[in-house]
Amino acid sequence: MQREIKRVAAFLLVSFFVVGLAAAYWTVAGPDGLLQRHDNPRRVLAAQAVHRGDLLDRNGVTLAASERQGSTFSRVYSASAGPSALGIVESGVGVSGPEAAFDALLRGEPAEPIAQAVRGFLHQAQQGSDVQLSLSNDVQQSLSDAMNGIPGAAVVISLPDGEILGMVSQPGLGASEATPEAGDANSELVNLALTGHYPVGGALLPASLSAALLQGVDIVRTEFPAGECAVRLPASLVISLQDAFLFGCPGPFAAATANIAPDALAATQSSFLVQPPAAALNGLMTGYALGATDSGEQTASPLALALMAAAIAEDGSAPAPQIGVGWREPGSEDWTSLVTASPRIPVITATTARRLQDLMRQAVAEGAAQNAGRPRLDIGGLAALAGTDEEPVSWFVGFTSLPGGKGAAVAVVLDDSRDTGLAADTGGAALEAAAAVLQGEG
Amino acid sequence: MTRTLPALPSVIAAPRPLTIERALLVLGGAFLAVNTAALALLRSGDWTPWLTLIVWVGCALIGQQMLTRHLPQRDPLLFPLAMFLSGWGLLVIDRLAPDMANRQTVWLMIGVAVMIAAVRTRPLLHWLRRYRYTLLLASLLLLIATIRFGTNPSGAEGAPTLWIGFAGFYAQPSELLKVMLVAFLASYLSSQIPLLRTGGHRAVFNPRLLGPLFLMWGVAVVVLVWQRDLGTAVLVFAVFILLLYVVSGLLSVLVAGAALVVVAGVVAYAAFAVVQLRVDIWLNPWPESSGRAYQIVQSLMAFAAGGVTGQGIGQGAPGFIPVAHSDFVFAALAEEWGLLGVVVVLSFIAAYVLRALRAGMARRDSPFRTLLAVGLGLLIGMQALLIMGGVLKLVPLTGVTLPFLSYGGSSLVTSFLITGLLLRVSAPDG
Amino acid sequence: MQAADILLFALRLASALILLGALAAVLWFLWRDLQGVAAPASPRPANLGRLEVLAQLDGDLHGTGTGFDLRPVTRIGRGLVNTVQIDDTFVSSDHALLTLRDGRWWLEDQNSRNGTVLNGLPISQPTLVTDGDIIEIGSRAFRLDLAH
Repeated sequence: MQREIKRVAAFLLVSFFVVGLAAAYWTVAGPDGLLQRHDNPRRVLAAQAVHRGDLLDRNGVTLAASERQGSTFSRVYSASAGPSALGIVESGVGVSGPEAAFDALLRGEPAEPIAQAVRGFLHQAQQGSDVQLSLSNDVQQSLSDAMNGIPGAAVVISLPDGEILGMVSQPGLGASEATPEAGDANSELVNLALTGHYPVGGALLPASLSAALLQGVDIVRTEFPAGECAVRLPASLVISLQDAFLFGCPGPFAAATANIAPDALAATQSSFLVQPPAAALNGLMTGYALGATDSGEQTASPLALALMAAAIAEDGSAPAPQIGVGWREPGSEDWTSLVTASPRIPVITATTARRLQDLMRQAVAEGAAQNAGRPRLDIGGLAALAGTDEEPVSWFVGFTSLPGGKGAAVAVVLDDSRDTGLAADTGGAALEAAAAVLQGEG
Repeated sequence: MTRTLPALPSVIAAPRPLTIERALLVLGGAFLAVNTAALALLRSGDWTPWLTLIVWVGCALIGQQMLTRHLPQRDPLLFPLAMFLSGWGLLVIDRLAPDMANRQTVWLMIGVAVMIAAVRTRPLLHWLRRYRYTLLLASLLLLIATIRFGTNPSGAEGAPTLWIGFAGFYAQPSELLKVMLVAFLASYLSSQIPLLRTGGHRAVFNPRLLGPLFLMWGVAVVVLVWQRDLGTAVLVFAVFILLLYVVSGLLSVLVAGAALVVVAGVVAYAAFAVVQLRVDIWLNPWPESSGRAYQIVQSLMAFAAGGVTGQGIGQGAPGFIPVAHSDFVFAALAEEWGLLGVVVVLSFIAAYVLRALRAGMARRDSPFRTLLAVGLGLLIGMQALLIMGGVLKLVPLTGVTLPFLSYGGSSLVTSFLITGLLLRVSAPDG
Repeated sequence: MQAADILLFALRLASALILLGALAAVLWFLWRDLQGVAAPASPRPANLGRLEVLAQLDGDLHGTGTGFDLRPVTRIGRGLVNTVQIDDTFVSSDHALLTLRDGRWWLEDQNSRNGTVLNGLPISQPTLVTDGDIIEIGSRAFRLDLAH
C-alpha cells in the first residue's frame, strides 16, 4: 500500500501544482485582455474613483468641479454653465461636450507609470488636470439671463481668434439638476448651440444680398412687395432690396433672384453657412452636417451663423472656432496651451463683407434689429424669421467691432417664437458682455 | 565518588516537533490581527471583526491545550493548518458578507469542539470500524430525509434543498455522509486486504468480495445524484476509486474508474440541464459573460484584478462575484491577497493532505487507520482541487465548498471532524 | 486620508510578509521531515527499547502495555518539548534525562523538585541503568525495556 499511497500523493501534488499554474496564468499573464473587457465592473469603479480636474472659464472662474462622496466623486456645475454647455460625466467618464473632448486630460491620462503604480498600491485617487476653456462666466451669465429660459440656443465667439465665449442651449440641464442615468438619449443633453438644426430662412439674407450684388442688381432702386418681414410691415408695402435687408424681408430677394440659376444661388447660400472642419472644437463638431427641414428649407446651427457674422465682421474670412485654452497638471500653476493653429475659412470678398457690415450696422441703427443696439458700442446685426407659420424661429445674427482689431460675433435663435426683438435684445446683451470681457483683457 | 560521564553520542538533541505547531498558530494569529486591523480601519472603527479574532485565538489556545493533553505525539501541522485556513475563511466571509461572519464564528467554535470530542472519545475509531453499516445507513437516512424535508437557507425557489433546518441553524447531511462513507470504505477494505492483494483482478471485480461495498457506495451515489448534489457525488466517486487503487495496487482500477467518469459525464450531460450548463460555460464562457457564465467570468476577473500582491483586504471588489463567500471564496481571496495568497492556500491544503497521507503510511500496525487517513486526506484534497479548478476554469464547476475557507457550518464542522480523526491516526497511540 | 492609505498599505505589507513566513515555515518543516524519512542513515528507525508505563494495582506495579520509545537522548518531564511528556503536577517541566553513552544508558536528575527515584532509591548524580530497572518520576512509574 505504501507505494500506491506515494503515487496518489504525487498525483495530488501535481494537481495542486497545475492549479497553481492556472492561478499564476490568470493573475499574471491573463489580465491584460480580461480587465479591459467592457463587462468588468471594476472599470466603472476605477473611473469613478478618479478625481477629475476642474473646468475653468477664461478668467479662472470654476465652471465644473468634482466633489468627493465617499470613495467616488460627483460633478458640480456653476450656475452659469450647466451640463448642456460643458457636457455630461457618466460614471467618471465624460460622454459629451467639453467633458468628453478633454476627458483624457481631466482624468489625468496618460498617467506617469511610477506614480500610477504608487497610487495603485496606496489605493489613492488619480488626480486629473484642470482644463481652461475659452468660455466666459460673465458672457454665459448674461446670455442665460437674457434668454430667461426660453427654448433656443445662442453662441458668442471672440474675434479675430474664434474662441467661443459663451454658448447656451435650452431646454437644457441646469447646474443644479442631477446628471441623468447612463444611456438616456435625452435631447436636453444635445448642445443645440453647436449642433442644433434650425431652419435658417431670413438669417441667410446676407447670402441673398451678395448673390443679388453679384448679378449687378441695383439694390437701392429695385423694389418689390415686402411680404413677411422680421418686423410687422404693411404687406402691400413696396420696398427696395436694401430696405428688405434692413427689415429682414426675404420676399423681395426671392423675387429679385428668381432669374438666377438655382444652383448658383444655392452655392452662394451654402458658402455663407460656414461648416467648421470635423476636427474643430476638439471633436465637438464630429458628426454634424448641414441639413434641411421637411419643407426643403436649409438648416444650420447657431455656430454656423455666428461664423457667418464673424466672416462679415472680419472682412470676408471666418476664424476656426476654438474652445480649449490650456491645461495644468494638478497642483501646478504652469499652463500648457490647447489652442490649435487652424487656417481661416474664406467666405466672401472683402468688398462684399464691408458692404454687408454697413448694412447690418444700419439694421441695428434703424432696421429690424434695433433692440440689439447698445450705447457706445459699434454693433451690426440682422434680425430675421425662419421656419413655417406653425413652427417659426427667430434669429439674430450680429457682430461688434472693438478697438485694437478685436470684436465678437453672435448668433441667437429662439425656438417656436416670432419675437425677433427678443432675439436681437439677447444678441445685444451677449455682445455687450463679450465686449466688456474682451476690453477688460486689454 | 566522582564518575566522569562518557561523551554524548553525536546525535542532535531530539527535535521539538511541536514548536512548528505553536509557531504556525502564532503566525496565523498575527495574520488575522493584521488583516482585522485593516478591515476595522476601512470600516472606521467597527469593532466586530475583533470579536471574531478573539474567538479564533480562544479556539487555538484551547485546541492546542486539549490536543497536547490527549495526543502529545500528534502531527504538528494538521491543527495549525486547519486553524490558519479557517481563520482566513472567517476573514474573507467577514469582508464579503459581514452579516454571516458571526454565525460562521459560532460554527468555528462548534468545529473545534467536535475536533476535541473526536480526539477525547477513545473508542471513536473502534466504533467507526465496528458499526460501519449502522453509521453509514444512519447518515444515508439523514440524507434521504432531506429529499422529503430538505430546505435551502437562502429560501430561493428551485435551489437545491440539501439542508435540514433546526432552530435557525442549517446542517447539510451530505457533508457527514462523506466522512461516514470514507470510514465505511476504510473499514470494509481493510478487512479484505489479504484477499485483495493476492486475488488481483479477480478479487476486485468479484461481486461476492466487494458486493456489499459496491452496493453501499452505489446507493450513496444514487441518493446524491437524486439530490442533484452532483459535486459531492463526483467527489465520493473519485475518493472511492483512489482508495480501491491504494488497496489493490491495480492500475486497471484507475482505468476503469476513468472510463466510468467519462461514461457518467456523457450520460449526465444528456440527462441534467445543470451539467450541460456547467460544461458549456466551462468550454467557452465568453459569449455569455453577462448571462449564464457571469459568475465564472467575474471569478477570472477577480484573479486578474488581484495580480501578484492582491488589492488588500476590503480594498478589492470581489463583491461582483455572485455569492462569492460560498463556492467562489478562492476567487475573492485571490483578488485581495493576490497570487501570494493563492499559493499559500494551495500549499497549506497540499501540506495538510500530505500530512494526512503520511500519518496513514506511518500506521503500518492498523490498515484501517491507514486507509481512513488516506481516504480523509483524499476527501479534503480532491474537494479543494475540484472547486479551485472550477473557479479557475480548469474543470467544470462543481458546487462543492472549499474546505475550511468557504462559508457553511456543516462544511467547517466536518473539516474539523476530519482534522480530529487525522490527528488521532497521526499519533502512534491514537 | 494620506495617513490611512499608508497605514493600510503597511498592514498589507505585514500581511504578505506573515504569509511568506508561514509558507516558509511549513515548507521548511516538510523538507526536514522528508529528509528524516528518506535518509536511511537516520537514527530514528533504530529500536533502542522503550519506557513502559506501569500502573499501581493492589500495591504492585503492573505493565500497561503502553510506553514511550527511547531516543539516544530521552528527555523526561512535563514540558511539551520532552521526548517523554508527562502531564502530572508532581513532575518538573524538565525532570530527568536518559542518555545512551558508549552503549550504556545513564539516568540523571535535572534538579527536579520531587527528585528521580531508581528502584526505590532517589538518585543524586548520573547513574547507570539496565534492563528492567524501575524509574519513578513524580507519581508515575516506568520500567526500562531495553532492546536486545
